[in-house]
Amino acid sequence: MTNCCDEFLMEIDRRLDLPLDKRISVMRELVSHYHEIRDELVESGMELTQADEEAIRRLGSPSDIATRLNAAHNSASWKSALLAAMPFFAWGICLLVQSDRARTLLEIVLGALLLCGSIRELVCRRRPIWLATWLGGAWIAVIALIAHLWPNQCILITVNFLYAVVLVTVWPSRVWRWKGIGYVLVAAGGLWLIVLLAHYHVRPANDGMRTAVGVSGYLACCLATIGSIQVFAMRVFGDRRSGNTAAASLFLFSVFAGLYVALDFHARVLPVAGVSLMGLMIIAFAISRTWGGKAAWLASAVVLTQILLLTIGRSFDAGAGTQSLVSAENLQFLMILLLLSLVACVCILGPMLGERSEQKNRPAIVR
Amino acid sequence: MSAPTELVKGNAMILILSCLAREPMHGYRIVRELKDISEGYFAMGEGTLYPHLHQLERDGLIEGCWETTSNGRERRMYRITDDGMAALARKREEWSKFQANMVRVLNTTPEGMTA
Repeated sequence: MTNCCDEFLMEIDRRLDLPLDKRISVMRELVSHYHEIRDELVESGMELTQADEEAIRRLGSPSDIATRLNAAHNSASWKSALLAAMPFFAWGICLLVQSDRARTLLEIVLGALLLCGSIRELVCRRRPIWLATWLGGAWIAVIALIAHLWPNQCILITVNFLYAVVLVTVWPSRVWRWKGIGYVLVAAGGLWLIVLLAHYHVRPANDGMRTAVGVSGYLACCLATIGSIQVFAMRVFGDRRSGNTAAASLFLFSVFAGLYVALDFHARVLPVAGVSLMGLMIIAFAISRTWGGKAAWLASAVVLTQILLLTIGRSFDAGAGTQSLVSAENLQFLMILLLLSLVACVCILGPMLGERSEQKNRPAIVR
Repeated sequence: MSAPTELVKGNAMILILSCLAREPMHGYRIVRELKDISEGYFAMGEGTLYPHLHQLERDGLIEGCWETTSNGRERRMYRITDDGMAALARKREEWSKFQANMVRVLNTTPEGMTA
């Protein structure tokens, strides 16, 4: 191949956001097509250099081809999107059950289903698009269940640790196995911390813990945790050996959606409405073909969640007559969630920016 | 004269399925067939054929597999599935109705409209 063709194919390769096996297959196909055109032109009497240029011209714009290929591969089918949203809808059904015993039983079944389903796919070395949310959902479902059964922080740490070991051990990429254990541990510990702190900050109204120092410490923990979770998602899902940035974003979306619900876990109606809303948003996020579309759905999810939190959730707390919707209590709560929303948006959309900045340094598979 | 790009993009699915309904083909052959049958009217950026092919494959309407030719060249051959045949039949029917009505509307003269 000439330099001209090399550059053309490498430009496409750099712009593709696909797992390695798919990327190789796509590039093989394009190279094969290029050879077909060029050889036909040469056979018809054209000089090799001219044939090369004509073949490239006929293939079209590299950025257009790559954008369309990314869109074709990174949007989920309806079936996959529904499966991706399933953990949230199932969680919503669990929360609707009045009996504590029945709810606990359902949570056990849900957690087991998500974990078994995820592990089965990982062991079989498959990477369906819904795997990202199942892993995120299983993580939060297990933590919620254990916290409900044994409200002891040591058990939560142990569960996070075991989950991390299981997840990373069955992960096929040996390169990232040990690094992954480290990232998962940091992210799991951080997630546990954020839920714990949210519990102390959001639920009690007058327990004296909601001080300025407490809030700033809480926010610092949130930022550190979100950063850790993002690094984990990018390394495990977005390492391009077994995933891509779209899967990493979906994982992050599911984790943050779970966090939103966990933050207001004690409101009586919001969890059901919240998880249902997040389930719908995950479907929309998964089937969106472009990053612009994903960003639009993410922004909608954040705005709708804020409205839901401010109106339904807090008005229920205010039902006893102790709070008004515009109380300092609510505004502080809203500020925290707004900040979290902004950081979450940056984290979830970060892969897109990271992907662009990575293009220059990425090794090409076409030579 | 070639077809407007947007029209070709919007109808790429039915064009590709129609080609593959005749026999399994690789990407380059599909482009050639479309161009030859339409006498050059359906000319698309050849690289942009693949996103359409991959989308159809993801939707289960076609399936692809790698084959090696006698001269050692690798090609990814696509063949239409049963679901693809059913989708093509539906699209053909839609197109027939659309075309008939389009012709009827375009051939209606101002006098006819006022009548």
